[in-house]
Amino acid sequence: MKNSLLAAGFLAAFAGGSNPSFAAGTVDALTTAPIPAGEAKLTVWSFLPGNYDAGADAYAKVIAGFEAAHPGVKVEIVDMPYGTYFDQVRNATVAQTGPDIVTMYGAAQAYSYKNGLFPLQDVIAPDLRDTLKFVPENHSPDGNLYILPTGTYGYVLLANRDLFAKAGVDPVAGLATWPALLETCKTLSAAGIQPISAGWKDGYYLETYLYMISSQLMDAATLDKWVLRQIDMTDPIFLTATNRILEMNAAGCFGDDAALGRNMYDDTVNQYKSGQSAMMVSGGIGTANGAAAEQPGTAVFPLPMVPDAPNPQMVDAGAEAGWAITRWTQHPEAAVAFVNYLAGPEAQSILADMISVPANLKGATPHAKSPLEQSYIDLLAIPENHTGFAAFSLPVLSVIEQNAVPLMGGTMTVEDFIAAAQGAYLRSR
Amino acid sequence: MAGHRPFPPDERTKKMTPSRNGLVLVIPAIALELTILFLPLAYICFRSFYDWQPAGLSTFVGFENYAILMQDPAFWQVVRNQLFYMLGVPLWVMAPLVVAYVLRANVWNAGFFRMVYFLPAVMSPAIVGLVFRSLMATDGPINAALTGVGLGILAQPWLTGALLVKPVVIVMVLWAGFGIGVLVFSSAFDAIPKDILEAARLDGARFWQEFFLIAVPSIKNTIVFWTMFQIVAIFLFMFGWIYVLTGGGPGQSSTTMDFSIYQQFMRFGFYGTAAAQTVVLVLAIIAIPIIGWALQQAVRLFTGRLGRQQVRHIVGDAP
Repeated sequence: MKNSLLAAGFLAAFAGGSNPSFAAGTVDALTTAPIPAGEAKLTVWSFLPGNYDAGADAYAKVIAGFEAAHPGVKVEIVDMPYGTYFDQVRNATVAQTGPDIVTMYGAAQAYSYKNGLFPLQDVIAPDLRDTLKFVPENHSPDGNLYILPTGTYGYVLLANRDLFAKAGVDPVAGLATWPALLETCKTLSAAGIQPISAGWKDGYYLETYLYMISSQLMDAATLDKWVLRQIDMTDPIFLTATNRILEMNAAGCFGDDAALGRNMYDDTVNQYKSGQSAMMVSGGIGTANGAAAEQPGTAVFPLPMVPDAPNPQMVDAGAEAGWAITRWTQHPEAAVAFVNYLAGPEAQSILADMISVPANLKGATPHAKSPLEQSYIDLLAIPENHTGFAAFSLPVLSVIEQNAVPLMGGTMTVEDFIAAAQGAYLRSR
Repeated sequence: MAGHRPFPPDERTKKMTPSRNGLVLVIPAIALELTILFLPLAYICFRSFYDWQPAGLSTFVGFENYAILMQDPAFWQVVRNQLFYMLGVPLWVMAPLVVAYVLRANVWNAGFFRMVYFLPAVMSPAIVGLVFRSLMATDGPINAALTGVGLGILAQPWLTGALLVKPVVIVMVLWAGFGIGVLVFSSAFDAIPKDILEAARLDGARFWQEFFLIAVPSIKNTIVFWTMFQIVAIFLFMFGWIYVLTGGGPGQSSTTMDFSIYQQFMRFGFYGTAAAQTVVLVLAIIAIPIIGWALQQAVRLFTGRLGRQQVRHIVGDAP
């Protein structure tokens, strides 16, 4: 009898996970019910505080504001390095234990962690429902919203006007149209100046240009289809976007072969900051401020629209990231309150003031601390802005990153590049 | 006679006692192996037949995960990479073997050289990988030095060229494991009775004849062990190098099976196919000793014949 029980127990343990199983004390769905009386401690994992010089202080202030409003709840934020962050979240998802709240990107990327995250579409605070931006494009393919998107980013070109002047190029005219951009690259190269910093080895810049250009080529309806995975990677949008990047490469925008071997994203930022390139792509105001501190002649420009883009002017812009609640949290009501607080005007105002991340709220008026910030904010306010970033699934991004060097180095054809991305896309679908 | 008792009862008891004690001693090791190795492996094997969703609804899919793997060009690229890395095995075996033998032949301060060779073995692959990644960047110091001395034509995209990256990884792994190989082979050479080598020298054997006909056959078990270890290492211990040095790229050009499993599971959340790929990896590792054993038999046969012919030749030439 004892042996039978042991065998049955072993079998049950072996088969564990065939059905949804959540830790004892957790719930199946979130509600916006009041936080129960008593002490609650929330653990939050994020890579965002480390992205900014004053990030830790800014988030500490946000937490202090939340704790003051909810005296029974303590929040501990764990600042984690980006490089291994998603591995840690994966481990937590598989083990069904870890933080109560995590920073996460939306749509296809959150979907990969869906077993560990609660859908949030039903627990958005009523006052945020109509004011929170970038919500539709952060829905996952199963129709759920796994993150509350916060903050605003937008990819723009930072241009060093001093280096432009040295080459005799007016940056306003030289970056006004796509043909002008290509011509500017040639002129800067001829003057011995690397036009744009771009490291390919980690592949991030290829991803970035693909987001920027494919977003230009999508109208609102196409973006919806992309988010719903009704568009493949073989769609002409991605082929065109890839060819436009290669067009920039052929015009010398990214420097010679040696420049293609630059290692990582950070190297290229340093290249621009040290005055060795005339332009770089920036995703946030904080990065632009950092670059301008080293190169005071820095100005902000949108990437010129590629020919045949359906929008007159826009930048690839969306939420900076988002916040998700894990399925194993022991304090679901407190977690709901905290993510809504993070997405709300009070927290986003603190982050805008302290680390220059504009709020992701309709009607919010960011306060610019410099003309550079003002011009960046103006670009982020273009009504046509959107991004398909989060709908790129993780396997697709991985293939893009891995193939960046061979594509840009000319050892991989565009067709093979797209085929590899499509293979990864189909796997993730 | 009803039956034959080979030992009187007391003798049999004496014979049985040590093996019972031995069993008691190995039970903890067996239990540990079962718990931390075979049980998880069995679980992974079980899960490889599911659309495995940890903490979610996992559905039985039979061999679908294996079918997906077999139809995935990326998987076959990884298999080809593994086979390519096996081309490094002769180098990873021969280089430390020769150096270990040379070092025992009255080289000045051989201990110092052994220490120098061993140094990379005590360095973290993560640190070494980062250093080499910087050194071998397209605009890194190695290419800059080559260009600086007028050999710019030799400057290459060492880690970002699809054709170059695997040979470069082979050389890196040689550099990292070389010292341990030298130590292992040095110990094995030291165990060869000196009089055998002296006798060979008296019979007129030259350095390389001594090496190939006396020294190498004398330590063939060590060579087989080291070869097997290197082959298993290609399947199991390349992760750190690939993770830091190349990230599996460019494309999938340098991805190994263990790195691919990590990507499938950790990066993409393809848990079922990661489990299936793990099973394939384990099967490959099980197959290696079998192939190794067959090779060992072939080598034994070959070296035995060759040795007899050479000895006849040397003795025949001797005055």
